[in-house]
Amino acid sequence: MSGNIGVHNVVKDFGAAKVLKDISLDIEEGSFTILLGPSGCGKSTLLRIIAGLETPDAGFVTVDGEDITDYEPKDRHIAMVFQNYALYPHMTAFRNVEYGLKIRKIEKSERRRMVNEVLEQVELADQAHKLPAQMSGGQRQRVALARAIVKRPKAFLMDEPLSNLDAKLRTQMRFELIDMYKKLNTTFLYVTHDQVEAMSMGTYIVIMNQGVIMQQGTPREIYEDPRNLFVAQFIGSPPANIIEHENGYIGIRPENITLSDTPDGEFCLPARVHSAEQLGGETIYHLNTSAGKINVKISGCWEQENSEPYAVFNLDKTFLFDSKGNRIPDNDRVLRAVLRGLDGGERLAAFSFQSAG
Amino acid sequence: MDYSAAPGLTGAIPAVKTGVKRKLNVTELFTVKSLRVLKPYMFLLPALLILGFWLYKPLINTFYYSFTKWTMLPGTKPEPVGFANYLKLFGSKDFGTAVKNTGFYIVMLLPFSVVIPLILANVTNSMKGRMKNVYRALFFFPMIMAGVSTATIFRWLLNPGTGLVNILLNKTGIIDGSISFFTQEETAKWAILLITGWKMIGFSTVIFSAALTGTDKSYYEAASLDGSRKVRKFFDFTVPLISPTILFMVMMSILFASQWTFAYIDILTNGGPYGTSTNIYYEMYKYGFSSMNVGMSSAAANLFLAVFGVIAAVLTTVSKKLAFYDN
Repeated sequence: MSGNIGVHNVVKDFGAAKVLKDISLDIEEGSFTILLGPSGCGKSTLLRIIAGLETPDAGFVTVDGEDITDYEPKDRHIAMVFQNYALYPHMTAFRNVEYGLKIRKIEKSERRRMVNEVLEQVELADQAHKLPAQMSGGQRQRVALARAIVKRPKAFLMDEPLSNLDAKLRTQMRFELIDMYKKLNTTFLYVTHDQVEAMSMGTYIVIMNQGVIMQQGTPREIYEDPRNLFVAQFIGSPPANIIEHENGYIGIRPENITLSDTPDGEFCLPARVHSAEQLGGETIYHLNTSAGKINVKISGCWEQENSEPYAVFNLDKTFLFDSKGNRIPDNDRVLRAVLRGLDGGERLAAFSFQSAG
Repeated sequence: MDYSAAPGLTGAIPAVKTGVKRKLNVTELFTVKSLRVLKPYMFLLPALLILGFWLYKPLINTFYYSFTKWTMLPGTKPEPVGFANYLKLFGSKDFGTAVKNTGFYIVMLLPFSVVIPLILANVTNSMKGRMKNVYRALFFFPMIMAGVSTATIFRWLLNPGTGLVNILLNKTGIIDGSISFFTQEETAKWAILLITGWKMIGFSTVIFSAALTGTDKSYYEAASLDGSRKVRKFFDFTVPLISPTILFMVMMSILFASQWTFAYIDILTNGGPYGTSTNIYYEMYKYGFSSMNVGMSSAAANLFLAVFGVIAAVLTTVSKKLAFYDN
C-alpha cells in the first residue's frame, strides 16, 4: 500500500515566528522524498503537520486526494519514526510494536503473528522481550521502524531518525533503510539536515530554508542544476565556491576545478595553496586567488604539491546567479566577461569573494 | 568531643602514604593506624550524636516505659508492670475504635492525596499559557496555611448556627434545621477527613505536576499515532511513567494520615463525640499528656511503630516491584 501526499498552501506560525510560509508540495506515491534544510527551516514542523501532531494555521493536507487536515493522527494511515524513537520505555520491544494493534482491537493470535513477522523483518526476533533501555541505539532504531511497519501505513514519516547514531552505525542504517524502502514499496518522507543522507537515500529532494521551499527535484537535478545560491551552497561537500561580481554571483563546485602547474584549460586563476585537507582518497585544497579563497577537491592524496598552482576549470561547469541569488541561464558571454576580469586583474577591484562556508 | 585530634590526623597520613623510609616505632604505628581507622567515624560522630540523643534514646525509653506505670509527676518513678499496659490497651473499647478510625482515615484519605490530585495535575498539565500556573498556585494554597488557622476557618464555616455551610444547606432546602458537624457521631470523622483532604490535595497536585512535567511528550505523540485516546493514554503511559511518584505519595499518605488528621481532631473534636473521630495517634497523645499515663502512651506508641514499620516495609518492597524509572 502506498500513498500520494499533497501539501496545499500550508501556513504555520509559532507566535511571531513564521515557520511555514505558504508551502505547497506534491509527494509522489512510492517515492523516497527527503525534506532537507538547516535547523529551524520548518521541515520538522511540516512533517508533524502531515502526521497530525500540529495543526496548520492555513492550507490543507491530502493523502491520495482525500483532505486529512482535520483527521486524528491515527486515521491518516501514516506511521512516524521519531528522532529519539519515542519507544515506550516501560514496554518490551514486542509490546511496543504490538501497542497500536492492540488499540485497533486486532485479535491476539493475529497480533502475535504480525508482531513476530515484523520483528523478524528487522532482525530483532531474539530481542523481543527486552526493554528499550536494555537495547543499543541501532536496535532501538529498528524497534521504532518495526512499530511503524506493523501498521502497514500508506506512508512513513521519519524525523531525523539517524541523528542519534554514531557515524558507522548511521552509514549501516542508511543502507538498511534503502533496503527497507525497496522491500516495502511505500512512500517515505524523510526529514534531515544531512545532505549526505539526502543525496544517498532520496529519490526526490525538497530543500527548505526559513519556511519556504528553495528547490525540489531529483538528487541529480539538485546537484547539477541548483536554482539559487542557497541550494548551491547547501549541497556539496565542500559546497560550491561563490564569486561575487557587480551584477550577481558565479558558482563553481570544488570538484569541477583542477590544479595545474601551467596556465592552461578554458579558464585558469593563479593561486597560492593556503592549506590542504588530506582525506585519504581525495584532497581538499584551500587556495588564495586573485578573487579570494577557493576550495578545490581533487582525487588522490599526499602528492607532491606545487605551492603556487593554477586553478583550472571549464565554463560549462559554472552556475550564474543574479544579484538576488536566483539562478539565471548560463551565458557564456557574461561568464567570460566576468572571469576575464578576474583573470586579467584590471577589473579586480569590482570583485569580492564570498566564502561558501 | 575532641576535635583537636583532626589536624594531627591529616598530618600523620601522608607520612605513611609517601612511604618514608624510617621505620615507625610501635606506638607511632598504632596511633597512625588507629587514627586512620577512626577518621570516617569522627566525620559521622556529630550526626550520630544528634540522632542518638533525639531519636534512639527516646525510642529505647519509650520501649522501657511501655512496661512501667508512671505519671511523670515530680518525685515519682516508673514502676515496672510487665505487659499490663499492652493487655489494658487491647481490652480498651476506645483503643479498638481508634484503630478502626485510623484505618478509615488511611483509606479515605487516599482519594484526596492520590486520585484527585492525579486528575487535577493531568488536566492542568495539558493547559497552555499562564492559567496553568494560576490554577496550580490556587491548588497549593491550602498547603501553606497553618493547620490551626485552617481548623478555625472550618469551625466558622461548619458552625451549626451561623456557619455558611449550614445557611446554604438550609436556603437550598437540602436540610431543615442544622447539622453540628463536629459533635454528631455520623459527621465528625467525615468533617475531619474532608478538612485534612482539602489541605492535602494541593500538595499532591504540585508533586504530581512536577512529575508530569518531566515526562517525554514524544511518548504521547507516538501513542496518538498508535490511536490511543486520552483516558487510555493516562492509564497506559501517565500512570506507569510517574509510578515512582504515585507510589511515593501512596506511601506518604498511608504513613502520615494519622499525623495529618491529628491537629484537626485535637482542635475541632477532641476525638469525640464518644471517641468516634479519634485515631491511634490522638489516643497515644491523650494517654500521655491528658491522662498522664506514660506507660499506656508508650505501649500505644510501640504498637503504632510496629504496625507502621511493617506497612512501610511492605510498601517499599511493593514499590520496588511496581515503580518504573524512565532514564
